[in-house]
Amino acid sequence: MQTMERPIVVLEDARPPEPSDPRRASARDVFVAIVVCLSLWALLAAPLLQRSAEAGPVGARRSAALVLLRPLVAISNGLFLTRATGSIERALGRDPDQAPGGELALPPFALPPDEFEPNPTHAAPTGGPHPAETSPPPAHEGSEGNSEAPAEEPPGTAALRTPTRSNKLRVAVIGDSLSQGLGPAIERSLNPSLVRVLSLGRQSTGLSREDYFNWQAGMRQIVEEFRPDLVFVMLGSNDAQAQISRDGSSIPVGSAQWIEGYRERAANLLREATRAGTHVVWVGIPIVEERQRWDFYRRVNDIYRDTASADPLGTYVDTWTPFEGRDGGYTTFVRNEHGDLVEVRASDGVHFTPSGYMFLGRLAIRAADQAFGIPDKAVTSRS
Amino acid sequence: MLFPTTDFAIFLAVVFALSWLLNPHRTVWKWFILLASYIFYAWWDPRLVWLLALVSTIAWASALWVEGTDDERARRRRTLVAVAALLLPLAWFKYYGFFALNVTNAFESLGLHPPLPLLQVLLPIGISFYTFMAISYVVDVSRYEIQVSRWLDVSVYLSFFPHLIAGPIVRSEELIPQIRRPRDAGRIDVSRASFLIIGGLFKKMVISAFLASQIVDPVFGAPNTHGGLEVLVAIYAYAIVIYADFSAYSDIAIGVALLLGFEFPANFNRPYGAVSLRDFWRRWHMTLSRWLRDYLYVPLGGSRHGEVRTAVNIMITMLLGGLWHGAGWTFVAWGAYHGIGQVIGRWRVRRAQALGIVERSSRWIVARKQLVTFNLVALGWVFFRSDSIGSAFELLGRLGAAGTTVLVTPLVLLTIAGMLGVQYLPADPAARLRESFGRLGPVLQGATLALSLFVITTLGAQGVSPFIYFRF
Repeated sequence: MQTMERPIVVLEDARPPEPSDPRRASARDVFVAIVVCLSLWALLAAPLLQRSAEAGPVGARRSAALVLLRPLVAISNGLFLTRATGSIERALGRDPDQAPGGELALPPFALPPDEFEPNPTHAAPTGGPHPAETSPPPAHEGSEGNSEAPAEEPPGTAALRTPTRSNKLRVAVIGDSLSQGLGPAIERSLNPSLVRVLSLGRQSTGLSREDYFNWQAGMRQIVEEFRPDLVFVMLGSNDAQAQISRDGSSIPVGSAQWIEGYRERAANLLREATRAGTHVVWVGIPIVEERQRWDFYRRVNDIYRDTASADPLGTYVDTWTPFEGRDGGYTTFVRNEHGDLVEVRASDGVHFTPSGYMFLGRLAIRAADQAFGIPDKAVTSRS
Repeated sequence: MLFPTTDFAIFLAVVFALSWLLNPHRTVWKWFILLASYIFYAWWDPRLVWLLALVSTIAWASALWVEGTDDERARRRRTLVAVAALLLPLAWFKYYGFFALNVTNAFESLGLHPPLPLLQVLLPIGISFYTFMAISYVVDVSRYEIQVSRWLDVSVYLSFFPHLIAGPIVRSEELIPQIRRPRDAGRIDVSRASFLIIGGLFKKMVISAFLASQIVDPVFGAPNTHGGLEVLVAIYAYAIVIYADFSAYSDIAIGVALLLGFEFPANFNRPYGAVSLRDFWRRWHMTLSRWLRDYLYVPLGGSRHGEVRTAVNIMITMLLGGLWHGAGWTFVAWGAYHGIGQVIGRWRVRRAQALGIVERSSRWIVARKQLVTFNLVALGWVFFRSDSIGSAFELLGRLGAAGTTVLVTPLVLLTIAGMLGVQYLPADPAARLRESFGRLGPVLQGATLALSLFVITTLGAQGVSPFIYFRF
């Protein structure tokens, strides 16, 4: 046996004491600075913090935060700090009075000149003509995508128009964080020279909390500013909570009133789009890992399906079954078109991996194609 | 717990006060800070706190076992067993899913029955960081560089909350002596700490969030819909995003540690001012580079066995360094890219030396090298950020494509240019400002910090996304 003797470094502070430095402070002074900093910041940011707390899910944490913040906001108001900070917020480009979830800001988009003219379907913000019957989707004509001739389908039918390079098909994807992954997947599956996709999903949103973010108003804005031909809606995963309106009125989750209110909100959202002639694909909530959520998600999926199916310009796509395992339970892996196993679900048991979103996007596009007929050249990945 | 949250602000204020109150009572302080660190970790996901305690215990027990023999061979054998034991949780939690999926697909393509069950294993945050620190601890004991400490000291060393989630990877000889001895309550470097924390919050909440949402996420999410200019700017923007995000975490971690009286090593030194890929790795995530050098590259033989062996050692180090960042082929490709780049760089230097070419050094030559290096690094980040190698090439393929330029706004360009410009400023540009801040009284210091925080929270994005390096 070989033994080696080496010097052992005994762990000690090797650093020699440094000379007195005016920047060094005592723990007491630093604690005073921390307390002053946090207190003053809490006063300055009280309205911001209150909006943030209001945005939280209904429960003990939200209630406690609001109780703590109310006196702070009152002091802030009394000292005119709210007014001063509001001015600073405006100067920095933020509206201090907007809902906690913010507002939609659509990127600039030049609509084709002919669409500035009002037409019966696209320019009717309220009560426009609504198709009474669905028309069968047109056979794929293989029309030349680079044709410059406008080729609009007659308004009010269930068929999507054939896009051109100068008048692209306009598609919006809205909803919660699941839709934020779905949007880019849909964008990747459609031909950018013929389709313009806006991914407008907002994290932590849904239909329950209009006080946080109002999707019905958001849809109205999208229809007015972007005039989409097709909207994919995917939300609901955050909605297992009380319905709160902008006026603060609340309906507890689980009540019959909640179901009715939710059904009404879903119908209003859909109608906001379809009465302007916009087609809607309502993407259902997929199966999730946590079984306790299944009943709720299935129930709201039924609402989405009923709502979308009742409108000739709406269709519902089931994403629960395609992501089930063989045993009918949650699974992380599915086979792709080549037969390879692919990890499709994120580790939180709700969201998807990028491959999973591509799979989800293809499901949604297939549903749109079956219901409304997407022109061949507009889709780059149809399988 | 995320640094830029009110939860953490309250946590820090409480821990700061109690930590300094308990500072003279060292054993009580250690138990307190260990508990605080476990609470900090559990805030994210309480299910895996036990793993942190387990890794600490394995590190301590195996170091004791390694130290128990003076026989060199036995010591080496024991060290290997200890390192393997420490790597097991990392292998299981981080790499099993990736490994099993690839093995299953390979077996099925050959018509064979796959031997491994497919599982998605929950990844504990920070596991790569504290595992590497645990390994360095055992190896340092094995190399007679340190003596085994008590379990409590080792646990505090590995779990100390400022570095727990995303580094810096602090060595035991740097931190354990500081843990053992009471800190000086009268000499807190409050100016440096404040500037690091406020600067870090600004980089994370304003710079990183702005560029990510404005151009990086849209372009990397759907590269086929963007033209060459948007893709090019998105690639540069991502180089800034990852730097702002990760250096922000390091800055805040170092600043918080300073408030508690602890000194951490620096983790970044203006990396985009590097003049070669080798130089880049001396400036980027410096504590990881140091770890890879001391515990992987040098034990492999380093540059002591000829050029070919050196090249192989560089490749192994960079490939494993890439894989350390994540279980995916994109990270392997990113590591290979940097490995090949460094091998080529080394070969060019050697060839110049052999030909007797004396390298001139002027400001323009340095600037040219910095420009080339930055572009090479930015190109490598494409693989790091993309969800697959195919997506990375798809994005690069769009560089020559025509398309809109709506995402390339003046503010995006200004932010990128500003963050790059900072890399070339003289060292410590804020020294005078910091000194002035240090001369203020505590109330004025607090007020200044409050105003800075208010501006950051107003300018910053609503809601805080986790730091990029959390998943490593």
